This record gives sequence, structure tokens and C-alpha cells, in this order.
Amino acid sequence: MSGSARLTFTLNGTKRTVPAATGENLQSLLQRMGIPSVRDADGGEGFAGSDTILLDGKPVLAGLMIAGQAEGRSIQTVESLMPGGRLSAIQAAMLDAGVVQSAYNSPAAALLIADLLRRVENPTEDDVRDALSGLFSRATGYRQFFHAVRLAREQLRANDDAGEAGGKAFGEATGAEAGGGPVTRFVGRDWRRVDGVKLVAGMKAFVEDRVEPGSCVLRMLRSPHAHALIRAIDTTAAEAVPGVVLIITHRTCPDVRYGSAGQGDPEPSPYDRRMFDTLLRHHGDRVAAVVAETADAAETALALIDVDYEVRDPVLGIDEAMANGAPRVHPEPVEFPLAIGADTRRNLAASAAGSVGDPDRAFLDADVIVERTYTTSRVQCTPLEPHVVYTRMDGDRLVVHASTQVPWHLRRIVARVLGIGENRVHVIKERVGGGYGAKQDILLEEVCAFATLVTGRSIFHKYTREEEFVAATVRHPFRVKVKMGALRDGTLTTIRMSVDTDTGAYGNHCLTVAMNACSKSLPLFRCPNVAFEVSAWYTNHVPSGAYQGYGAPQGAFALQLAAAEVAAALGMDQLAFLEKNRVREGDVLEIMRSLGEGREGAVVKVGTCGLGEALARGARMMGWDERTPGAHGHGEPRRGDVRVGRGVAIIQQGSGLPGLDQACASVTLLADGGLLVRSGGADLGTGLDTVLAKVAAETLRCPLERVAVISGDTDTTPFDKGAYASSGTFFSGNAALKAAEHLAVQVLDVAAGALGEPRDSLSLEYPGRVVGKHGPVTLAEVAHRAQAGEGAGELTGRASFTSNDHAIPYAAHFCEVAVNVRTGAIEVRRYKALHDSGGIINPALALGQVYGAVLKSIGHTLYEEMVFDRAGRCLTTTLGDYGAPSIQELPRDMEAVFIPTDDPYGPFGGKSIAEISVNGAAPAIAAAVHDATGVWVRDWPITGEKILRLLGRF
Amino acid sequence: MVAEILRPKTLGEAAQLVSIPGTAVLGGGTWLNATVAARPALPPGPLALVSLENLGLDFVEWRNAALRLGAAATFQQVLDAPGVTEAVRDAMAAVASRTLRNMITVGGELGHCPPDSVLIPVLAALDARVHVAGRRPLGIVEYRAARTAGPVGLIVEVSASDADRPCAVSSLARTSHGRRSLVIAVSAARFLPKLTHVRIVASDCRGQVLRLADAEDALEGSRLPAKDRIESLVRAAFWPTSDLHASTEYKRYLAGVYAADLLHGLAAREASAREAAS
Repeated sequence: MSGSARLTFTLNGTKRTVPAATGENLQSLLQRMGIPSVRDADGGEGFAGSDTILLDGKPVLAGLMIAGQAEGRSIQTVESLMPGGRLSAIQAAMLDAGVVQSAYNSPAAALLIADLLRRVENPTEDDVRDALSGLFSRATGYRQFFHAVRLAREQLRANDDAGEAGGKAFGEATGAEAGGGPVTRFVGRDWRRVDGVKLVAGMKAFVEDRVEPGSCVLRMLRSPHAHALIRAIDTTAAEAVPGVVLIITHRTCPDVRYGSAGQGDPEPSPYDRRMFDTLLRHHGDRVAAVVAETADAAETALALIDVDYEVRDPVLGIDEAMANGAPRVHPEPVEFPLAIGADTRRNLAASAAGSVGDPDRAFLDADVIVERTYTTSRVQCTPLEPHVVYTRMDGDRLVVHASTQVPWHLRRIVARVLGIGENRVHVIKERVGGGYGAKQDILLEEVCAFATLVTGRSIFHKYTREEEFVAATVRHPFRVKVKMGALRDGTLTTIRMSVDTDTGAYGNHCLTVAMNACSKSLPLFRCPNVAFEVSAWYTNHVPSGAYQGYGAPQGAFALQLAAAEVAAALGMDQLAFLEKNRVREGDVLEIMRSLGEGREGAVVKVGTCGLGEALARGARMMGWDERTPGAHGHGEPRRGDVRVGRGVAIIQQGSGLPGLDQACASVTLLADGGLLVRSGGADLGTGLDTVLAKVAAETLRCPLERVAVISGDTDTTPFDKGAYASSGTFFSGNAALKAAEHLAVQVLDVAAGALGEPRDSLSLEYPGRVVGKHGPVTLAEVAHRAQAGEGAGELTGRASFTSNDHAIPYAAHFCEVAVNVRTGAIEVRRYKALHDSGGIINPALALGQVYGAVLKSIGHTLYEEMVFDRAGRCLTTTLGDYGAPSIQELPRDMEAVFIPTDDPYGPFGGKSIAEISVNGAAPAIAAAVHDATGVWVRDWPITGEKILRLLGRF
Repeated sequence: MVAEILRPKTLGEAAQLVSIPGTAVLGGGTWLNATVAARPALPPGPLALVSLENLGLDFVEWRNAALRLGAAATFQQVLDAPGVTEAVRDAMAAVASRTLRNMITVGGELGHCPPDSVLIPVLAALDARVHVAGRRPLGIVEYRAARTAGPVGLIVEVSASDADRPCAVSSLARTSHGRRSLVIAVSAARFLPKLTHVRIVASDCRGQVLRLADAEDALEGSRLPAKDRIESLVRAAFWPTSDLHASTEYKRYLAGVYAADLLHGLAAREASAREAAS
């Protein structure tokens, strides 16, 4: 066989002969052959499993094979599971179990389950763990896969014909329902997600699936230094490479300063970025971009760009940043759209402070005072789908196919950087294969957009996994000093919280993340005297930014662990201390007045709060009160080297940013009585589109399968602030609810005319009817009457949603750990997450959100760590080296429970779910480790080495 | 650039092809293809891959009390085979991904010698021999030394003549899929009444894979000492290099702990087996 040849193999049962180079990557070849479901999430690391195929019936990774290896073999992809185009029982089970979220590797998961069920008749939990051991599922946390396998096995048994699809289609209820709340048909019950079929079937859904033949690629030359000045850059040789279309450097890019954070406008982040700059501020910072007709040409050209660097001393930590005479990370003038307490001469990107009561006085009266420092490390979001964009021209308009959480902010920022009107920019949010905050920043879109605008060419750019680590945003490292005072009876009387954060090279989200650490932790305690101060420092590290929780995990780690230390100092049970001092329904949160995000805040009154029940029920589930001496707890006799301990944390988040943000939606009655929901909301795999469909169907009493949703398209849907700050259900959901209610009024008006009776004698009834005294009229008949010659036109309900009301989700997380005090091995044996997220709209998807977030947070607590060398270069640039958890790290006993409350402000009583779930693991695990071993580990990740050092083992 | 895949039908043909400059052996392809993706790591010019698929080297078998693993046997195949020694199975299972285990071959592991391999220390503890076409069998340490000197040729199989002797392995990694920081493998022919043919192999996963000869000599022919004595012997003989996730001190400490615990665990197992037999 020669280097370029024809390959013959069987693909999904059909013999295929294709021209291919022997050494072509098999995953690339399959994509070229029209199989989008075999994806690349790790550049051939062999970690993520998105490139799983069955080769001669066994799962292997196409990304680690060359095309020549397929010669004469049989390859199956997910398409083989659905002969005739119908979902298999396995795919149906995955949808029913709620494991299809960001879905970048859902097709791979389906193949692995298929392989398992072929090999093992009755899989045990260990069998499932083994089968999915090659799959990285950041979104789901794996827990519901066990259920999916059970469902699939039962369905396959029930089907005489194994190819017959099981389960129910979208529009049919799938089982579970959340308790509480009003009687509903769709809300609170499990229905398959509206985009589920295309995601689990591996159809075209993501940005990379939109790339047209002949498109160019963009590759970025990145700084090898943490801090350097470009003295000269020569692109002559690179430009001469055949196929090179454009090279962008600081000399040829727009001279515009901007920020990458997709936040409210005006942004509470500095404009401290230029598309390309002469000063390079972190390892991985942009030096130049090459646009070429092939990837080979682009990479050849990159290697030929000659750069003369003047390497400077880097600033690699908070102490270095604040030291007298420290190198300035931003010596240039920086524009601040809002005053955020910055002083760039001192590398201070933002600062703020506030207080209630008289904390200092209260410390004088306290019986116990604990003063501790807690630190947290950089954590990477690691979305399965890396950052990616595809830009093209449509006439004189720029079209941006984006994997983004913030389509409207993206449009605004791109238009501003490029100096064109927003009318010339069309952003289409495709399905997002994982965001978690990472895709709230504009990190590559404006470069690609500029290149397309300049060249007129369609351009595709996708980060490598290494670029995700060196050039995407990370969770801010924090250093939090907490001073806490309490009376002997356990009453918490005073807190001082001092937060320093490392915002890295740029200040995106610098103030708001630090503030959020306070605003999502301090209000959990009824404490009359509270003071806080926050400072965000520029360093020469990869920029920090948004990551699920948005500062709250760091704040919770510090404050909850400090509370545990106070309880220990008092000789009081940790749970009893939390119960005594926790926030309660109706409390007025005075401290929130000082916690506005770059603006004045407002006092908040707590609406519903399910913390009391969460703590009580969690305690029962854990057997908290049944501790027997010696069973766990330090200082007690134990068997062997393993010590068992328990910990608990109370946590909260918000539901969007009341007073700051807005969402809009419309609901149109289609001619046949169906509904079309248009929402600016950005579904990141969380199921937001399904929330919108349910809200509309519930309100109009319309069958769910008659509802379509278009979202996140700046041309065809109305404005929405985007998916951040836990705003999806609360803001976008409420906007859809209001739009549906607006449509309902119009429907009743038309029906009143048709039936000849007053509107208030009519009611909407399932399935899609208006019922009055004179009989029913269907929604189709209403639509027809409105759209006919004498009608007033198509009926569309429109609404925008703003609010000053806070729907605060609360939760209590419990865990039990086993620590081997000889080896340092830590095992999370039990984890219970009890959540008050109001009324639950999508129960299975909501559970998946919790499980996914909890495993992420167990990850950052125990395993995940970005390691840098002394020059500031990131050394952990693969998922394995970084320590991303897989199904083997999932605790054996892990359970999430919803505590139903009926929030007065959320749609159908709903509050937010996903973000809060990352806040509990670090403090709960740290407290449990202390309970087990007697040592407080005050910096994450909590490792065996740290524990053994604290125990004095070496 | 990979120019072609050659598919020889005999071992002789394969060995001859492998000896030609510009060729590389294709087993499962996981290491090789990752290297192909990172092109700067490869020599310039076209590359011909020699596939083992037609050579019948995907065997896992016991013959004359020796465990034989063919070069083309995958890790999953070894795991699924009946009767494979527990420590060897543990080494295979240390590759946490079943999907990867379906691809990685015994020959590929030996050919690539990843620094955090668990299999290689286990094979060393079992006094395994690497069979390279046209050469006398090499011990693991010897094989690694030969490999650093230059291409060794076509790996055909690895065998352990006394593979059912007590052997165990422990390793340190932050996660199941993470890079390992330490591997300790131990074995002995007998524990009672005294230790015989004791082996302690330590890998710091940064390039050192050592038989801790001083510690072995101190233990050979003696009664199994207390754990702290074993720990001291191991720590005195092993100076690991730190890595991303573990310091030198931590590795040294754990090396002692692992070796002591493994040896005591195997001894306890032998004692209970004797008790059951009597």
C-alpha cells in the first residue's frame, strides 16, 4: 500500500472503498466520510473517548489509529445502532436517564453501552464502570449511566427484535416526576429533551459540523514565555508558504482595546486586551495568527514566523504581584467601563470592600476566634468540545457559528473590535459541547471574524487540548483570610473575610468573581457583624475567568471550613453549628447592599429556603446522629490504617443577576396549532430549550411534541443576556413564561370572537383547545382565524423579563471519606447532595446537572491541578496529567435529592440548579478529612502528600 | 509521513523488515500514532510501518509452567485470559480505560517503555524474559539497557518461567487515568520460613526502573522483618525523581510503605494457604 491509496473496509455494514492516505488519522477520515459522530476532544491523548468506534466489534479510539489500520476491518459508529434511522433502545435509555447533556461524546457512550450489553447479560456496577472507563463525561458525572444501562437492558429484553427502538419519543413522558408544586402535565415530569434525538444520534449539531468544503483554517502562534516583549516579528517566509491566505500580527490587527468577558454592558471588567499586542503577558498568549487553506500549510507557516522576544521577569503569584517594584503586567493605559477599584501601577485589577455591623467590636466580645488562611488552585473547565468557531460571509454580513454561552455579548464585542455595526454580525449559537463558564469569554471568535472580514474566506478554528490549558480561562486561584468569632453557646457573631485573587494576565471577570465569593458565602450565616474586602491581582499566568460557581466554590471552601474550625474549637458538632447559625426564610440580607458587582447593591430578602430540611434529611441519610465511638472521628481507636470521617457544608448560589440582566422571548402560534418558541437563551446542554418548550406547552396546554424551540440566534431570536450566573431557568424561562402568557391572552381573544362569548369565560385545556360554554375551539382553528383574510395576523406573544427579586437556591452537601494514614490514599465513600432548587422542571436533567457538578468539584478538591514551572509555563496540558476525574473516581454511594419549595419568583417555582452544585465538595471533604485524621488541609487540591506531611510522616 | 503499512506473513520476513531504517513496528498503534500526530518527534522522511497482525503473536498461554505473552496480545486479551497471574492482571488493569486496553499490546508497551508503565516493573519482579527475533532472551533490565543503546529489533513475546510465584504491585497516581508517580513490584519464591529469591523493583516513573539489590540482599535468606525495617532498606536504596504530582520525599516514603505492605501481604497469603493446606 502506498502513502496515498484506496482503502477498503466495512462501515456500518456496508463495504466502502475510499481514497485515503495510509497515515491519515482514522477519526479525520471518518469525519470526511460523513460520520460527524466520531469526534476529537483530546488530540489523540486517548482520554476523552469521543472518538470511540467499534473495530471488529471491540471499542477502540479512532483518533489513535491511522487509516491503513482499517484495511479489511469492520467499523461501527453510532449510526450502526439505528437501522432505519430509529433510535435504539440504548439511545432511548440514555435520553430517559438524563445522561445526554452537552453530548459531545454521547454517541461514543451509546457504542460503549452497546458493547457492554453484548458482552454481559446482567451488568453489575463494576461492569458499567469498566465499560465506560474510556469515556470522559464532564457534564453528567456518570451517576445516571447506571440507570441508563438498566433501562436499556430492560428495553432490549422487552423487544423481540433487538433493533426495535424502545422508550418513548419526545412528547411522551418518560417516568419520574419531582414532588411538590402545582399539578402540571410537563413541568416537573421527565420528558425527553427537545434536542435529544440529534445529540444522541450523533447528527450534525456542533460548530465543526457546519464547516463547508474549501474553508480555511486558522492556527495561532502562542507565546513561549510568560512575560516578553516582541522586539521584531518577521512573517515573510510564512507568507510565502503555498496556501497561506493571511497572517495577522500586532501590526495588522485592529487597534482596539477590549475585554473578553461576555458580561453585562457596561462590563465590570477592564478593557485590557488587544487582538495582538507587542507585550505578551502569559505563556500561550497570542503572537500571530495564520489563516491557510490547509492545516498543514498553516502549521508550516507558523513554524516559519520569526519572532525576536525580549524576555521579561514574570509575575507569578499574588505576593509577587503586590510586591513593591513588581514588574507591571499592564504598563499601558487600561480603560475601565465601570470603576472597579483598580490600580494597574500596582498590578491591582480590581478591589472592593464593605461591611455591616461592627466586626472589630464583636471580636472583642467573642469567646472563640479562629483566624485562618485558605488557598485554592487554578482549575480548568475542560469542556469536551474545545473552544471552536466558524466564520463566513453572507453577502456583506459576517456570520459567526459559535460555541458560546453569550451570543449577544459575542455580537457586541465582535462588532466593536471590528469597527462594524451589529447589523452586520449574525451569531448562531450551535449546540455547545460543554461550557461551564469557559465559553462566556470571547477568546477566538473576534480573530476569526476579523480574518473572514478581511479575506472574505470562510474560516474554521478549533483549540487543541493544549490550547485549552494555556489559552482558555481558568478558575481564579484564591487566597482567603477568614477571621471568625463566636460565643461559647455556638452563636456566630462576627466574620471578616479578606479575598485576594490571581486574575492572571487579563482582568476578565476580575471583580465579579471575587465579589461572588463573598456574596454567595457570607449570606449563608445569620451574623450581625460582617466585613469583607476583595482584591484581584494581575499576574503573568493564563487568564482566570468564569467557571461554574464563579468564585463561590472558593468562598465556600474558606468560609465553610472556617466555620467547621470554629465548631471544632467550641467542641461543637459541625452540623449543629451550621443549623444554629444558618440563614432562614424571610431573613433580610443586609450585606448584599455592599455586594453589587461594580454597582451599588441592594438588600435582599430571602424568599424560600429549604436548608433546614436539607440538613435534617441529609443527617438522616448519613446517619449523622448515630455515630459510635471508634467508628470514625479522630482521636478514637481504629482498625488498620484507614480512618473514616464525615463532613458537611451549606451552600447557595443565585438565579441570574436581578437588577442587571434581561431575557426576552416570543411564542408564536403556528397555523396547525403548534408553537414556535424563540428565545435568546443559550442552552449549553443543560436542557434550557426543554425548559422553554415545557413552559410554553404548559401555559398554552399544548402537546409538547407540537412545540419547537429556536434559541441563541441573534438574527432570529430576541435578546438574552446569555447563559451565566445561573440565569437560564430564572431569566430565560421566565421570559418564555411571560411570552406564553401574552400569547394565551391573544388566543383567548380570538377564541372569544370565534365562540361569541367573553374571554374570561374561556379556558385553555389540553390538548390544545380553548373551551367555553359554547364548545371548544382548537388552537389550530384559532390560528387559522387569526391568519385568515379577516384576522389580525399571526399570533405571537412577546415578553422581556427583568427582576429585582432573588430566587436563591440552597443546598447541603454531606460526605464520608476514608483516609489511609499510612499511604495518604483518600476515598470519597459517600456523597449526599440535598438541593432546594425550587420547583424542578426537568427532573432527570436536573439530577444530571447536580451529579456532573459534584464530580467536577470532587475533581478540583482532590485531583485537578494546573502545574507551572518557574518560568510560568504550564506543564499539565493533557487531561490525564491535569487530573480530570473519570467514572472510576465517582463515589460508590452518591445521591442527589431535591427538597421541593415553591419559589414565588421563578417559573413554576423554579430556581437555578447547576452552578450551586460545585460549591459543596471542597469544604465538606476537607471537614471530613479533618474528622478522619485530625489535620486541616487548608488548600486544594487535598492530596495524600499534604495529609501525610501534616501528619508528620516524612 | 506514514508511507505504507507492510504486512509480513512470517517472523523472518518481519524481522528483516524491521531492521531496515525508516521502519517502525505497528502493534496496537496507540503510542506510535500519538507520535505520528506529534510530527516533530519523528525522523524526517517517509515511514513504513510493519504490522504484526498476520504473525499469530496475539497469544496468551502457559507452557511448561511459563507464562507467555505474545507481542500482539492486547492488555484486555491478557486480562480476559484464564489463569494469568494476579500481578500481571493488575498491571494490565492499571491502564484504566478498557477502550485503550483493547488497543495497547504487550509488544507495544515493551517497545515504547512508557516511564510510568506498571507492567514493566511487574515483569522485572517476575524475572521475565523479552524475546527479540534473532537475539537471546533478555531480562527486563537488560532489555531496557539495550533499548537505550539503539533499536533492539522485533519483539516477539515476553515470558516468565516462574510466573505463578507470589508477586504483587502497588502504584501511585492521583486519578485512575492520571500519569503514575511511583510503581513498586515485589515477589519472592517463598516467604516461610525464610525469604528466597526476593525481588523488589521500583520505578519512579521518570525513567528509573530499578531492582533494589541492596534491599533484596539484606532480605534474602532471612525471616521477613517488621515493616519499618523493610521501609528503611527500600528508602536507603531508592532516590526517585520528583514529578508533577509527587515530591522525591513522598515517593521515597511511599516506596518503603508499598514494599513493606506488599511483602507482608504476600507472606500472610502464603501463611494462610499453608494453614488451609494443612
